[in-house]
Amino acid sequence: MIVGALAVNCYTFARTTKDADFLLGVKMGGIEEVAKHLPANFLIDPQPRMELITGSYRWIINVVGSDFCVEMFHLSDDARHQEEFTRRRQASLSSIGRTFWVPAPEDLVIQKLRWARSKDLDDARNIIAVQADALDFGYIEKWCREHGTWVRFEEIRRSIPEI
Amino acid sequence: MNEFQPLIDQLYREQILDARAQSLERRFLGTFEITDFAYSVSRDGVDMQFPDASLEERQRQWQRRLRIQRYLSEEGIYSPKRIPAKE
Repeated sequence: MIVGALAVNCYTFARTTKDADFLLGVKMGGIEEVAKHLPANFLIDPQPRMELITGSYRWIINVVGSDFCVEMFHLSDDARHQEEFTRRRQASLSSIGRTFWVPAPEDLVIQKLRWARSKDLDDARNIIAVQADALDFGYIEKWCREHGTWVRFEEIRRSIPEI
Repeated sequence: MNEFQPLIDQLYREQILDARAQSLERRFLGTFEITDFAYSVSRDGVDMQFPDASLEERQRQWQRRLRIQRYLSEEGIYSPKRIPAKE
């Protein structure tokens, strides 16, 4: 499943990104198996890094000859990560004949409010503004209250001008 | 209220309405276009700042900027948040 900025941009307007992020629904050892099937110029750093908020792991793949890199995230046992993966949606790129998976927009908002860096809050605001009534606010509220980010969500929602 | 806020809101509204009118595919592929553009502007900035540097040195400066961007972006998520020094 594609996550990060590329997934966010599916639901709002384009912003820049330095990488392509993938969440893989495999066991920890499965990441190494996936890496074996990558092109030779994709160099994986064998040392995973732990994300400090949810405890999930990430591998960085540098692409020789490119400024762009790929990050692969391991699907953790975190209850919300599991639900996010279950709720994923299929999207298609007809111009290149490919389909891919992305999280539902509600799950991106919830995650962005949890990380809460300035770019995350901008992403959350933009998704809420573009998707508006298409969002399941009850679902967002349930997880935001669980994470203690509901006040943050309400502040962002209030900051959106009437459209 | 900031005197520019109505203009800021109007520009944001237009951006939102444009995004709603686009297909998912257009928004997705737009990521690469805008990133390529931003990277080319940033590379031009390196060239401007180091006009006499070799190609290798300018590449090194560019890579340094990307590392700083990553470091700042990951602070608090993949590395502990720094505590500002007391004055």
